[in-house]
Amino acid sequence: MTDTILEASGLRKEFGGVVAVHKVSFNVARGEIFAIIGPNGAGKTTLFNLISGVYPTTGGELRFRGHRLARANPHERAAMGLARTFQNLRLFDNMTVLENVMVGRHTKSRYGLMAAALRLPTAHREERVIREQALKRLAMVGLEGRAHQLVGSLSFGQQRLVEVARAMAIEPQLLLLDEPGAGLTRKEVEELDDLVRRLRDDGMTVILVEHNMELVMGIADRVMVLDYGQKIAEGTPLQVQRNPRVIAAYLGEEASVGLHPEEAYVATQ
Amino acid sequence: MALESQLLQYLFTGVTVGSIYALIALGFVVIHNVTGIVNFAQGDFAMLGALVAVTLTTRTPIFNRVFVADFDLPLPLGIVLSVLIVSLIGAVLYFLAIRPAKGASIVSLIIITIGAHFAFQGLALIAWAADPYGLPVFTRGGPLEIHGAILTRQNLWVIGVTAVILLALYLFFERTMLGKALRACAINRLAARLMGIDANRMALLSFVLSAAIGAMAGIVITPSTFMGYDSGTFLSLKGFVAAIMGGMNSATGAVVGGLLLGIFETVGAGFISSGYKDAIAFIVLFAILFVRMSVGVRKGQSQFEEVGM
Repeated sequence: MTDTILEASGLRKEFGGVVAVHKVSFNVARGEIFAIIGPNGAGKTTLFNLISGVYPTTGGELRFRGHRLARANPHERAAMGLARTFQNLRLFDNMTVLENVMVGRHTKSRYGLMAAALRLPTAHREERVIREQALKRLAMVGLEGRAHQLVGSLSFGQQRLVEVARAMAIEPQLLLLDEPGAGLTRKEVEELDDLVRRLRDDGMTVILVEHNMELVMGIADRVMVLDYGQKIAEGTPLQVQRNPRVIAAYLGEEASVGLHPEEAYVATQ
Repeated sequence: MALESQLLQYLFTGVTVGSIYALIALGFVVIHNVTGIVNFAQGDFAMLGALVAVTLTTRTPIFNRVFVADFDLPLPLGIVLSVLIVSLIGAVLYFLAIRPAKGASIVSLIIITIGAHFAFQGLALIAWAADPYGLPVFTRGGPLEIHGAILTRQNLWVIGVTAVILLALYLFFERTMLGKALRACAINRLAARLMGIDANRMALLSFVLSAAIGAMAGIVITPSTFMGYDSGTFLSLKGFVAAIMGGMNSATGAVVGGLLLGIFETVGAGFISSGYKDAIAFIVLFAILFVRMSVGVRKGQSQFEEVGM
């Protein structure tokens, strides 16, 4: 258990009377790629929101690197090494690509208002380092050439990569990717696949929620399946694919490989 | 006076008055962008800045003339101290009134700022009574005369100080990590928090920054116009109109809105009647709201969404 990075036990989330996540327990080991799948409305994104602190939990416990997360604010979780991307992009629209990624390095900034206002050399040097580090992250996703464009001028797929680069700028130990493949072209999905593997090889732990089964089954070390807020299966991609409960939950979608209806919808937006 | 020099005169006066509106509007925009709140105590920061500066630099009876403030500091020192004190008041406002109401709707928070406005006004009445106060002009010397229009040295100070504040804000927001964090928070608070930015700290910073800008606006205009406990009301309203003219979210818009409002007012007062000076601001406000509302309805979107978060 020493190399467990995230432990969830009996996680529960209610909205009013609706139970969105019900007694979900799982462990994620350091350095693995852990996928969470399930039909629409299964509670996958809610689970991400609980882990990243967007919502408080109704019950259960979350431990990240052994620390209880319950009372930590989102920004404190980010500082602890937890980063995420969003299903619907949440970039800083009026900023350049580079600035977006630089904001991700905010937690690494030590000099405050006065130093910045007075343009002290230390603050100046620090900003240059942050800029260089941000450029390095952009190079990792192949967007260094776009650094000074406004982020809104990029294609959807490129914006998605900016979000990943911004999350990487936190230097997270655990990266949560919420449907990273949604709305991407096949070629972009391949690049994403490659990027996630490289991140794992660099020692990062990745949890992803994804509808693209091809991507999930190819990349994930382990898969957890949610249905109606409950965990119905967990195991290697092969084990999960053969699980009768999983097949029943997807009801005829068991053979689906490629574009999920929701993905097609997102892609047309 | 020839029409040409008359127009030039209106322009000079309009830009000077407009600079003050622009600074107040900037305060509105900074707080609104970061927190979603429209802070109606913004004009009171200007009033407090001016009255604190007066108290620190000249012999002033305070608290119903029970005490006499006799600091007699040199003007530059008094101004710097006053800006610092009002920044602190901005922080106190945030900690006492805004932070405890965490989770309240934006409308409730806006009403809290209206309450804060009356509280500041009441406290100022207790401290400084209903007397008008003035500051000496920053530099002595005769006014400049350009094509028959008069530009006083204090007008130049007002325009210059506004320009310097704008430049400083630009550098802060574009060139520093803290400025970027503040902008990130303004664009998407949730994403900013998940990037490790403490939204509460940014909200506090926005109140401090707006209070400082307001204080400077109040101080720089006090040599040309008297300032009293109730001057905050009109400054808030004019600044608010200017901020709305600029779209409420844009610093550049706020400045352009402020300057335009100042020029409209002066020209209107000059050509129609000075009695209509204040009415002009509100006619402009109604016109803009009317146009934006109908554009919004045509687009099928709710204006409340835009105003809210």
